[in-house]
Amino acid sequence: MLWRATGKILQTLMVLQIVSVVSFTLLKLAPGDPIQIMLGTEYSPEAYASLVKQLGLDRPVVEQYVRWLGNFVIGDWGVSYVSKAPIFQFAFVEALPVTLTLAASALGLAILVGVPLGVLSATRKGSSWDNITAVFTLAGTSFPSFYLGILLIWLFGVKLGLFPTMGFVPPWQDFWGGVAHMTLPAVTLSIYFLAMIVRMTRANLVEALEQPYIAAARARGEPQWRVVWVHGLRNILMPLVTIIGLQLGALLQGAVLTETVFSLPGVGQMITNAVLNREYGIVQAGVMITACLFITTNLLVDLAYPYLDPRLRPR
Amino acid sequence: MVDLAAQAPLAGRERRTGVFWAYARSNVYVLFAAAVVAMFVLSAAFAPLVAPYPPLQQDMTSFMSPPLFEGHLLGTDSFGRDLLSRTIYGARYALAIGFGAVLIGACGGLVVGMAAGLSGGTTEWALMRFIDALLALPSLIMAIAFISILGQGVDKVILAVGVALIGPFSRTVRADVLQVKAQAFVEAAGLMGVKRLAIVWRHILPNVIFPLAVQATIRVSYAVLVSSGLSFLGIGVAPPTPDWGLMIAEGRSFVSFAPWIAGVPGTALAILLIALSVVGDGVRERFDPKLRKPG
Amino acid sequence: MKPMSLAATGAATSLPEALERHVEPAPHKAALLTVEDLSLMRGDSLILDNVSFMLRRGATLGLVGESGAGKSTIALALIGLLRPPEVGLAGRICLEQAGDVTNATEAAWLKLRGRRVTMIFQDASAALNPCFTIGRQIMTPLRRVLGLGRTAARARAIELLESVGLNDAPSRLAAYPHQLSGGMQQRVMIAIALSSNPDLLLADEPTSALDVTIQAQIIRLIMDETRRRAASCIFVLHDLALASQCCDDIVVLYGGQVVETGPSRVVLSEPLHPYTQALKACVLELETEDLQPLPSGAPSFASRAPGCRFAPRCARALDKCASVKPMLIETRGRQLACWNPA
Repeated sequence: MLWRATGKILQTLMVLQIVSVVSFTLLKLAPGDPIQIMLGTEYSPEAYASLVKQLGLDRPVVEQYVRWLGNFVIGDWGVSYVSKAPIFQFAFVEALPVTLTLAASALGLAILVGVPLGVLSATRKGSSWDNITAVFTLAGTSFPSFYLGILLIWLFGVKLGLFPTMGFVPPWQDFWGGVAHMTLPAVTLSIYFLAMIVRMTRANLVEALEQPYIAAARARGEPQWRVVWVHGLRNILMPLVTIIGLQLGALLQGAVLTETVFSLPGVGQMITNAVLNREYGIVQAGVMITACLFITTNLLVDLAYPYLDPRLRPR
Repeated sequence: MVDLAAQAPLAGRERRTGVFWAYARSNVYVLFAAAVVAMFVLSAAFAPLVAPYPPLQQDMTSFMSPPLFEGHLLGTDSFGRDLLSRTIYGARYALAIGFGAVLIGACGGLVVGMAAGLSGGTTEWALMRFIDALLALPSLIMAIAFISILGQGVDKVILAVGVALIGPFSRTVRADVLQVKAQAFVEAAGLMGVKRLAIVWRHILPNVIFPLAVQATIRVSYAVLVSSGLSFLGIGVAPPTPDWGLMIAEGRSFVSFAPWIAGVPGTALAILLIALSVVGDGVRERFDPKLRKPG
Repeated sequence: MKPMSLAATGAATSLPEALERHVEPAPHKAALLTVEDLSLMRGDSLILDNVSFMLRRGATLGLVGESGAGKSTIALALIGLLRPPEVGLAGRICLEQAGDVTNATEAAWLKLRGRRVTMIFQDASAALNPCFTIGRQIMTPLRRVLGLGRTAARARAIELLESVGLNDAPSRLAAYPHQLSGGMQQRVMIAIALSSNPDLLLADEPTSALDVTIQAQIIRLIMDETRRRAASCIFVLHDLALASQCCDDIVVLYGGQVVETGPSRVVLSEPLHPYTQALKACVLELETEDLQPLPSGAPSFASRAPGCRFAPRCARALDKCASVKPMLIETRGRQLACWNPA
């Protein structure tokens, strides 16, 4: 099993490598001359030349890539043209935790609410509850999240005045303030996942409950609730985790949009502003962060499989 | 053998719905949704005839007026532009971008997927990692990255979203190619001496194109969502284009006292997306052979 | 376990031989289970039509018939897994000390299932939960039903596994079902089913999914263990030869109707119902020279179809067979439902 894990990790590194190449190419393809932007409107040819040399832009492309990659790995992501602050600082240290908090809250909410709802739908298959849930899940997976956020702002923030509608308060500094500020964004982001999880739980559970081991468990005298929640649920853990893993990209994507709606200073907002300001270094950093996040979580999901389904363990 | 497990249903409420009614009912929804989509398509196509006002016409005397007020059925925005007209023209952009992006993504995915599925050895492995890399980025973020290079505008949005869709499409195409390749008739053709290219053209391609078309139909709503998202973020189409995402963003600042400015385009977008999803689901249920349950 | 030759297990190798070596029924003659006119409807189909039979304490009963005859349905109804409102039940199922359980509530059934009435399923690999260890699947009922503590349950589990013939029990406890062979999985199922010392064990085709050489071992195991505990056993089988080896009494089912029932020695040595005769003729002996297959056709389960369901395929059918259902009448030492027996 260790062998398999090592193989997977190596494969992941390979993919990350390709992503980094693509990222680097992106930077190179970006229009505009970074030297010009950094030097401003008036500069001498000598200043230009010396800056080029300083940044190593006169070296061959491959060498530039290697240098960039090396810098990236140790945390030197360059400096913002606009604010002159190191990108690593505000990208990784400040923006990433915001996005992670949002994503984790949304996912947690979706799982905690979605799985029970899915179980309920599966055990009451064909009832009106099930049908209504089906309608809501369909709407939930296709509703535009940014519009949903605005609707929630209008309803809960403006009309009812229950929750703050913008800004981020770190929960590790002010827990309840953080929760209050995170409620509407987390709910907005979680709706898509909630709908997806309810659907998947229901579909997989219905199938699992038709299996002979469920009838056998009942024949042993296990009560209904145990049969569903212990036997049934345990067996759908693997397909469920697979789906969640596949949808993590949608989570990050939704986070970008949600951050903008609620003015949360996360990676999404950072990238968007960077595009408008032509700060390609920041765009690149954002792309790398997102890709790394996504690839790593997929790797973790992959490695978790043998624990979720004993049949996949080596004999 | 008697299916034992299926004979022992759960104690609990399993209401029996007649099979016929369930079929008819689900089909009704799909048909209704298709009608809604058709309505959007038609009004988009005939926008100049249907819309009461030109979409860019400003009228500062009646700016930010609510719906059903003074000749503006759905109200006006902060520049006095009629929202109904802008929404109708917005359908044009949404659908054009959606279909255009899916077209680019499907074609690109076809090429990459076929290459990955038909090659073997190291080439296949390298292409697979390449596809993995493409899939490592969510579509929106990849589109953002491309927009940063290409700049803003409708055509650039179509291109960016299209390229971002190549990853997902190539994965499905590759899976289909592998499945067809494994079938006996392909092997038989090869054994009979049919040239490889002819096999690809005559046997593999037709069996891949059809599922691809089904996938493309399903992904249109996703493309519309991503492109609206881009415009909402302010890095998609440029103002004053009547794009729904852009309109929602513009209306966001006024949500406390003029919620219809964001509400009208938002509702239109939501309705179109839901309708496209339902149609997509219906298409998939009908045509995707993998989903057909036995019996 | 070393595979044993069929003869060495003590199994009979032909039907006549099996009939010679019938097993003496246990001394208790009291009825453990009485089924009277049990009918079961599912949707528009009448799956069981006035099924009646009786099971004595300590005896073994075989439910024999083709696929779809309703044998498994009876077993599921007897353990309460097929109940209203999913199906319609009419008639009576009477279990000693529990009374009429036909319309018992789920709460009442929970007191019986896994305690007094247990069941073994056909495909042990599908009937064991693939995500839980064998140990957990054995010990959970021991702890929940018998109230044993963890160490006591583990000790008892090891005892049980050894009693069903599994060596190296401690490591089996930690294994997952897919790591065991089919025969071993079925032994585990038997161990679980017998752990509560049930009064009634239902065995639904326990060996159909196993190799022939293992079949005899498993059947012997079930019989020895139930005898040891003075429990009754109902075997659902489609194999007449197997039924003759291990069952004291036999119920022959066709299309949800009981056609003939009685002591297996009596019924099988001299079958009176055309269907039973045909079944017997189909049994492959080692010296069989010509096969006598039944004409093809499946019974109709339409609820309003009157008469004997075997009539369309019966060579001895009379006109009234299709329109009037024959009753079970005591005839020559067994119960027979036929207008025109041989």
